[in-house]
Parts: sequence; structure tokens; C-alpha cells
Amino acid sequence: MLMLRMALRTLLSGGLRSLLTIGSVAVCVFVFSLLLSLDEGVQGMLESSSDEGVLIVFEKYKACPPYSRLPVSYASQIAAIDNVSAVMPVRFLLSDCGTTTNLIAIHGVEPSVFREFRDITVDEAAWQAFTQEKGGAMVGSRAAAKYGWQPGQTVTLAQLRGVSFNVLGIYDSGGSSLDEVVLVDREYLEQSINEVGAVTMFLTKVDDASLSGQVADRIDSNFANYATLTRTTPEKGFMAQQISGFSELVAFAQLIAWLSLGLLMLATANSVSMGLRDRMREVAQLKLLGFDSRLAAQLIVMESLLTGILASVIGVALAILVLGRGAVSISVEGYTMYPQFSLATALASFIAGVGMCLAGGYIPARRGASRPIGLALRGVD
Amino acid sequence: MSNDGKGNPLVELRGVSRRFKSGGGFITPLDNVDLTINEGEFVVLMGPSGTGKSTMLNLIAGIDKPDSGRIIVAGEDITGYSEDALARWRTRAIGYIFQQFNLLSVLTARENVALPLSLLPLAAARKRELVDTALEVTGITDRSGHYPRQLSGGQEQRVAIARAIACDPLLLLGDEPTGALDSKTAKMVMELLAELNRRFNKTILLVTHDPAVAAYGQRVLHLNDGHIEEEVRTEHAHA
Repeated sequence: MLMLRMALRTLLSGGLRSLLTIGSVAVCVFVFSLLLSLDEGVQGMLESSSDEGVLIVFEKYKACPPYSRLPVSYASQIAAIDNVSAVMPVRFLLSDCGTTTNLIAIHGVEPSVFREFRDITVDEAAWQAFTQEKGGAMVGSRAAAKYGWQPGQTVTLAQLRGVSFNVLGIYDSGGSSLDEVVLVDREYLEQSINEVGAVTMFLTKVDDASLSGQVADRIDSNFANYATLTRTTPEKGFMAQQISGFSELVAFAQLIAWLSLGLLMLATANSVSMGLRDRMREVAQLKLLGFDSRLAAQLIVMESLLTGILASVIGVALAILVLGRGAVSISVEGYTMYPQFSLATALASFIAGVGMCLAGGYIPARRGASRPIGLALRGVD
Repeated sequence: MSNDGKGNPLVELRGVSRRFKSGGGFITPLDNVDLTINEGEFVVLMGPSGTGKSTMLNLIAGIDKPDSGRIIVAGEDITGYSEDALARWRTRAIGYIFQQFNLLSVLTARENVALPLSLLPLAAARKRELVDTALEVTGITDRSGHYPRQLSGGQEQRVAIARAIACDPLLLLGDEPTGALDSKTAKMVMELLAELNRRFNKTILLVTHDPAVAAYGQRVLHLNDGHIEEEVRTEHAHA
């Protein structure tokens, strides 16, 4: 207990040096948390589209949604295929198809069947109004929060070909990418942008999920001799393909995450080494009192441990503050990913921060504590 | 160097030599030194600067190791001990008092005194009792909650002495313990050490340049050219 008090007070009395060390470790832990949460965000996106019974019919050889153009007339032919229970043509209008942190996505949908495909929480009266009012829109919760849109408001988006809509309500899809989207009536959207009859994709529901593969083949075969070919895939696979850009980004981010941990360890080692240089006499004094080198090293490592705990708490708290409020998002090809900061990520970040501080402090502590005390205390007079 | 002290031999140096590199050559502050200090003795070590007084203290404390010879404390030959074994041995055998006090600034007086006790396998109540006793004997109980920066030099040295005696060591070593104090405070500190020797039969070995401090010793040893050249027996001037 006395050693713990001593370590804590030594840390607190370190002034600017302690502050800088704690600050740099906290920043590293925050960066680590952020990068880990990207991976969780991608996993979350895939999980939110895990319904194996939903197929996506997309234009073959096209990757980005705005370039997929399928005749809306395909809908009736798809609906006629065995085991297809519902079809919904969807028209995408995106502010940006590349990688962006500021995507506005409008999806033109069929309000009458939309909820057969997507599970959302919404005010029923508002949804009812949406099924009837052509210029109305339901806004995803994150989009509403991001742009400050409120029910009753009329929004005109000059950057999206001047599309305008009346916000009728706000829905929540439980944190999926859909929360970033504005839903409008498809025909209204097509008319607004003067592109009637061409849609981005068809969401297709299969009555028996185990037959999804066969149904997908039948759909693509059906249009094999048409001018516009289709590529039909289960939604999860489609999402995985669409967000493959994210996956590469996340792999790179994870590399940076591990590098940031290495940086953290080196920063701690440097700080402990510098601190010890000024405290050799104190360490020697401890050894003179009877602390062996292991105990003296433990005391120094305890300071690193406290630094790690304090800094990791700050870093994780910062991450909760920033990521928990959904302030960070990134979109690729019309899909928005939010870093997800779970308890597991928080724990992993905390443990990584503390662990790296311990590792960073250990070698200089061992070296400092095993120096012969005569070197620090010797006086030949 | 023999002695006719009052108790059994506590510290024995047998043919101890220590030399250090200096420039291109070596200096030999201790050259084949023999010395015995008995239990309960108050011994003062004097000599010009650079003659090896602190070196001898460091060797007896196990801080430094001799190039040759043996050092025996309370019958234990510590010459071959490892650094860590010496550290553990010091907790129960040696109390060391410095010129600059060397208190840990982040600990209160009481905590400084308790620090070496934290290494001993004693019950918490017993440790508290030993700390209380050490603070009381050194007359610093009323300042026990203060940090070193809140204490005067004399008070700091009292705390350092309390810390040195807290584990009831076999031997108290002092390296110019009054060197940083004014004469009045130095006298109070020396009175305290003399009392520890007298009342508690503490064996004390002090290094000093100050004849006034040396006057407290029962024996005064003079180190010169690596040898103990002179041994002056005194009455315990302040007994």
C-alpha cells in the first residue's frame, strides 16, 4: 500500500513530464480504440444485412450504385419467378460514390412494401403519411441528427440535383447503415431527377432462404439475353462486396493500430528512462533501505502501471465521447459505416494501453534498478 | 587494528582493499585494512578528503565491494553476497544516515520511517508500533505528517535517523550526518545519536571532518593513504 501511494505521488509530482506522458499515452489509446472500432463497424454492417432470404439484383459489371441501371420493368418478371415472395425496386441518389465522411444518400423505395425488407422503428402515423404523400420523406436517425432535419421541414438538396422533400418522420434501424439514408417514394425521386424507369437494384425476398442460390441463378438466367444483364447475390455477400473498400481500409487501420501501440510502448520507455536518469539517487536510496533490484523495479513499473491506467481511462473515455455520439462516420459507394465502440473494444483498448505502458516501463525499470547503488551513492573522500 | 571495546565484535574488516580507476591510473583509498568494531561502540572515522572514509562506510553497508579482503558483520561474511542479497541483509542489519538526509520527497515523515519496515514480514500493528517508537525516540512525532519540504534541516535529519533505526538494525552508519546542519542543530543531532548509543546500545560508525562531532565517539579512527593510521581513544565526551 505504501509503495502504491509512493508510486502515485511520484507520478503526480512529475508535473509536466507526467502530464505529457499521460497525454501521449491517452492519445495512443484513443487512436487504438478508434481503429479497433472501425473493424467492429464493418462487422456491424455485415451483421445488419445478414438476412439470407433477401437477394440483391444489381446490374452486372457495375460496382458503384449510381452506375447500376436496371429497367424497372424487370420487377414484374422477378416477382414471377418461383419462390420470390416480394420485390422492391430501389433507386439510389448519392452525393458521392467514393470514400467520404459526408455522404447524403437518398433511396427511392416503394413505401407499401419497404417494411417487408427492412426492420425499422418509426412512428406509424408518420409512416402512413409517407405511403400517401409523394414528396414526403422518412429520414434515418443519424442523417436527421447529422443535418438537423426535423419533421415538418422542407429540404432542398442542391448538391443532389435539386431534389427536395418534406420530412414526415424519423426512423431508426438499430444502428445499421440505413440510419444514414433518406427514404423517398421511388417514382417521385425518378421524376425529380428526370430519370424515369431506371432503378439501381431490386431487393428480392425469397420465401425459403435455403433456395436463395437457386433463385438468384434463375433471376440472372432470366435476363441473360437482355440488353442489361443482372448480378444477383444474397444481401450479405452483396454488402461484403460493396464494402470491400472498408475491409481494406480496416486492415490498414489495424496495422496503424498496432503501430500506435508500439509507439505508445516506446514513448513510455523513453519517459521512464528520462525520469530514471534524474532519480538514480532515489532508486539507490531505496536499495540502501533494503529494496532489492526486483522490488525497486516493481516500484518503477508500478508508476508505469498507474500511468497506463490513468491514460487508458482518459483515452477510452475520449473514444466513448467521440465515437459514442456517432460523430465519426465514413462512407464508401453509398454505404456509411460508423465505428462501433463496444465494451469489448473499450476493454481491449484499456488492456492494450496498460499492457504497453507496463512493457514500456519494464526494461528501463529493470536496468535502472539493477544498477549498482555505489555508482549513484559513492563518494570518495 | 584491534580494539578493547565493550561487546563482541560486530564489524570485522580483514585485509580489505579497494581501488578505483582515476585518469590513467588507480587510487587506493583502502589498502589492506583491518578493523574491528564491537557491539555498542560509537566509532568516528576522520581523515582528509579522498582518503576513503565513505568508501569504508559503503563497504561495511554492502553498497560497494572490496577488491580483496573480507567483511564480516555479526558473524556473517557479506563479501560474496549478491547485490540483492545485500539489499535484503541491509534491511535488518544497517541503518544509514546521510549528510543530505535523502528522504523521499513524496512521502511524509511517518511514511519515510515506515518504508524500510514495509519490507519486513511483520504485522501491521507491530510496524505501526515500531514507527511510533522511532519517531518518539527521535522527537519528531509532532511532525510525522509533514513532507520533507515542510521540515527544517534538523527535523529532516531526525526523520532520517528515525528511518535508520526503525528496523532496529545492528549498526548505524552516518556519512557526515551533521555536514548540512548549523552548529546548534548539529549538536542536537549528535546528542540524539549519543543517546541512541547510550540508551539502546546502538553500535554507531560515523564519518566526519568535524572535531566537535568526533568528540562524541568512543574511538576516533584516522584514515590516511589507505590505512588506519591512528586510533585515538576518548572518553565519551558527552556521556
